[in-house]
Amino acid sequence: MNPNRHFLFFFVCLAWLLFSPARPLVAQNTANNATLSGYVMDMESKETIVSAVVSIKAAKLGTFTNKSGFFALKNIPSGTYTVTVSYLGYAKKEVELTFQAGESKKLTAELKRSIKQSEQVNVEATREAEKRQINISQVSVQMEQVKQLRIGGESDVFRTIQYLPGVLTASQVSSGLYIRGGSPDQNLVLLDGMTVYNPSHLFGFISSFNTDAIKDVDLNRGGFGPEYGGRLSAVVNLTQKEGNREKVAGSAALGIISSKAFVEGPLGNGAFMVSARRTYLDAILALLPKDPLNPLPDFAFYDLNAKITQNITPDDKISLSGFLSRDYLKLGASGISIGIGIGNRSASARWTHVFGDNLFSTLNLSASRYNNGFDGNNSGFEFFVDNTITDYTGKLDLEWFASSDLTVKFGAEVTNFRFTYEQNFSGSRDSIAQIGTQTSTQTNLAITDWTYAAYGQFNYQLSDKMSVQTGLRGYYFRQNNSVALDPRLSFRYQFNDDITVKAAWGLYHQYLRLASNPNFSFFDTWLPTDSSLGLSSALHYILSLETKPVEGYSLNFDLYYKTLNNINEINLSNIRSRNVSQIFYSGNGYSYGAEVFLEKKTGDLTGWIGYAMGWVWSTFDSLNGGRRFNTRYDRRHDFKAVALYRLNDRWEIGGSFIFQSGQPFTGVSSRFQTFLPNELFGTGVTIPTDRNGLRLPPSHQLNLNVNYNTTLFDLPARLLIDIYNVYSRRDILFRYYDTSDKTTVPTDVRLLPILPTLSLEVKF
Amino acid sequence: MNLYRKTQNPQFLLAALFLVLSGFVSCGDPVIQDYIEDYAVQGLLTVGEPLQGIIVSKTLNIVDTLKLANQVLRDADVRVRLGNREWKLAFMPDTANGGSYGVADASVRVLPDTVYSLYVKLANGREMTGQTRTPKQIRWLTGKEPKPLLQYPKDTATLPAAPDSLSIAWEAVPGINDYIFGILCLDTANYGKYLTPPDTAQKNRRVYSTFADRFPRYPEVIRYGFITSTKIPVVWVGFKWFGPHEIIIYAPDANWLNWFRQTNQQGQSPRYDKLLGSIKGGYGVFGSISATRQRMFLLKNQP
Repeated sequence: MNPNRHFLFFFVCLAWLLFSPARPLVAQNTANNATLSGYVMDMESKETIVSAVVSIKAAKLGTFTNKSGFFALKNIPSGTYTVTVSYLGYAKKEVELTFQAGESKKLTAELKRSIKQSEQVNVEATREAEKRQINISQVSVQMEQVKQLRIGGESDVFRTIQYLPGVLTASQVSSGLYIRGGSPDQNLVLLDGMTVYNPSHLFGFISSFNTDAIKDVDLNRGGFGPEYGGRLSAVVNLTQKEGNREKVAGSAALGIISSKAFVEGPLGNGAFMVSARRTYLDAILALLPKDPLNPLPDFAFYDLNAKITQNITPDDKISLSGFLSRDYLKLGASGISIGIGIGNRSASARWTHVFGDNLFSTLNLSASRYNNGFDGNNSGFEFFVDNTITDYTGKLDLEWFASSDLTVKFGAEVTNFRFTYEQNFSGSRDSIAQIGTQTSTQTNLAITDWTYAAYGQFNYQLSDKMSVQTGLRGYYFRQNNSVALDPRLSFRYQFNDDITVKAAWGLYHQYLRLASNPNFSFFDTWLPTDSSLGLSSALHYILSLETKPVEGYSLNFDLYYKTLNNINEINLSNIRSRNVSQIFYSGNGYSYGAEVFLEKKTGDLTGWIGYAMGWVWSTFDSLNGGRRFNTRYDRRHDFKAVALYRLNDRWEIGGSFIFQSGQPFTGVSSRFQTFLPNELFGTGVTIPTDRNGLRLPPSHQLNLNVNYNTTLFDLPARLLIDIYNVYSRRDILFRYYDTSDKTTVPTDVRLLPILPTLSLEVKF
Repeated sequence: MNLYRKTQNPQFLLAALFLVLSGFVSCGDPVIQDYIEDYAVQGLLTVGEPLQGIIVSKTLNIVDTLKLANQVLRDADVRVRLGNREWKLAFMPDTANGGSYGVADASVRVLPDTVYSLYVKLANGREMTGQTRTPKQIRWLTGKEPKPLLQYPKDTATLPAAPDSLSIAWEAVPGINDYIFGILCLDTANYGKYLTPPDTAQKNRRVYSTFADRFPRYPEVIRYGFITSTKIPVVWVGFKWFGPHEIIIYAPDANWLNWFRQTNQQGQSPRYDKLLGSIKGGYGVFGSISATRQRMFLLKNQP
């Protein structure tokens, strides 16, 4: 479908919706109805709660709280009603309120934590709230589940997300998210509105988000609305905790890989939160005797999350968020020393303001910087590479609760990008090349660009059974002077209380490109789309069936088809590139598949079972002779099961199992021996088969977690026992053909065996 | 019959299981491909040296042990053209590389800054071609040639960086940005046998190399490196042996450089990348270099 047809289709659908006889856009006889708005928060910490359900059953009204914990219910007829507020893990709260005609009431609902995963979530209320929120392919991962689902002794947001169907991995040691055929660079990762460009530690083994600091995480696997843009595949939206407004509290944990500490407490008319995590491999190595002939690498990572929130007025809140992460590796021996470092630094200031009772605004100013590089000294010959992306973003979002049927979101975003790339192989660090120059030994590039975006999004409930979300996102990219428009459209039709069908279609554009190795995220280089290349784009088609077969269970089926245009693969053949198109091979791709997701959110036993079957294809003129091929993350079958069981107040057990078809890889069809001058044996070069034409054996893994709740010096404590890879299945990371001798040896590099770990966590 | 009752029926369950498994099997993956015979040419010309050493070969099955005699094709029609001149190359047997094609008259030397074309026709009719422009002659920068004697301190890991005496430099060659650095062990002195204790059966004493000896390869006598600069320190990790060596700097054309990257920079499993090859109709390279060389002697470490 060409772009003109996209827009024709979009506008025909839009016109039908706006002028359909189902229900007028603004309901009549509602002018004198009342409004209820306010916040939902935790009773003990006064932390706002995201996605809590607020409903008035008798009036058939319901809504969810937004990322700031705010809600608004419009069109409440005069009378006395029971307002119900509920959220998983909390006791349901009911408040009786009387509404006069035209009255605007404020409510701050405080929910009390329930020890059990609450089964008191009001099912009917949730149904009312869901009617307007389409949220196709969206999963909200509960942080309690993230904390209990530890992989290799570390709880990790991305690792948990990898256990959802349709989310694939490059390997079991990679936290990169490959969602419905999209690569990790096609995912928008937001932390309190800040874009995070490389959310990983340990060469990608775990993500750089400390779970202690995260309050809420949403994954949208596709079909997302126009409020999000700039990426082709998915959105991971994380919200940091605001902190405890009542008392100073915290926790400390000692683990095998890292240790961490978390402190929160009241501050002024608000709260603060600080969380830090660090490895100590470097400290242990420092204690060992040094052998210059057998040097050990020095490796460490750390991260820091912080947030301060202040209520200026009842309708104004300001928060400052910060995020810092750093990994480094150093190695020195025999006259050569090498250092590698990567890190993120991000900060944001957010002001939320409620205009009246139905217009919620968020102004977010953020700066985010991702840097990587390496340097070395080879017997006095110095060299280094340094690469940075920095963005300064201003974003204004407005959420207008126009009526009980209509919510409008609109906003604008402006970003200043700065890309720098400095490479110096001249032998001297002091030799500084002028910005914008490229010589045989030195490159010093700096690119500044501005991008602008604006969007409008309508969530409209056409009838009790049908609702629609539609909108448009527009971009202007200054450097290549181009405009892009992304129409988005999604429907929801409710057959009955337990069966809902959703569909989504949307066009997505991406400006940033990532030069990266899928197994090794240390040298990720973000680049703009310059005039030598067109923007990347994707089309999503999603059909979803959501059911509730038994109380407490949800069973969802998703079908998707996605086209990817003008995507890239790094061109490793090219040593020097003068524009972005020379750095990448450019091509197209498409993916399609089906997903099944059975989830149980309440009770002592919680968890899910997911299965996905998918295909991912790419076609690049310069690769594989122009023939289509599977990408490395094409896995036909993907089965996942997660179960968390609370035995009693002391013991909790959990397990996770994953089975995936093997990864495609490129085999070899033959070999020949090559010689450079004076070589006696030479080098065995293999002739590759079709790119990714073969497939490794399936990969599977079982992990177990046990929590023992106890006290330590009268403080609540938890002993965490984790067994990674219980039956020691050593999956293949990659296979290569070793030709260093006369026989060609297919060699498998395998992943970690069984790894038991023990951690202790103390709260205060 | 409702679905609940159906699920209690064993035949229904078996049929459902069969259908599910059939679905899985039908979505199975392709089987591994077999050996495919292909053909390659390796023509690396060196400015100022005889027009010789062009290897024509077929590729071999990876399940077979490598025998160069099985790889080399001896009956190909190989021709090299320079303007209006054309040489028909003869097959020259050589036990080291299985044999190659060349101009028997060794006085025919490769000229600098000249375009050579290669034409190969195999007995089965397959044609392969290539073209190279030879680089201009590379020369040492006066006073920055390798020193005749080189001696490193024992503990190079913890001592300060070596002084400038280890540094060598050469004149930039027009049109060339990237150079190849080679250290060739001449192995004529049997230097190692006088060392004590003689703890190795090898003729020479191996020099410890942190990054290289952890991944032992076949005992080549030359090591190569890639440089974007026109100067380099003669680094400790470059050497395998004590004794006489030749330091060589190559100025490669793009074909030779890509071939070097193809064969020397992919670790233990080089995989052919067509975009780095320079032979039309097959695999391989037709490239050229100019070289400058200097002999030197590496003394044993200080005690």
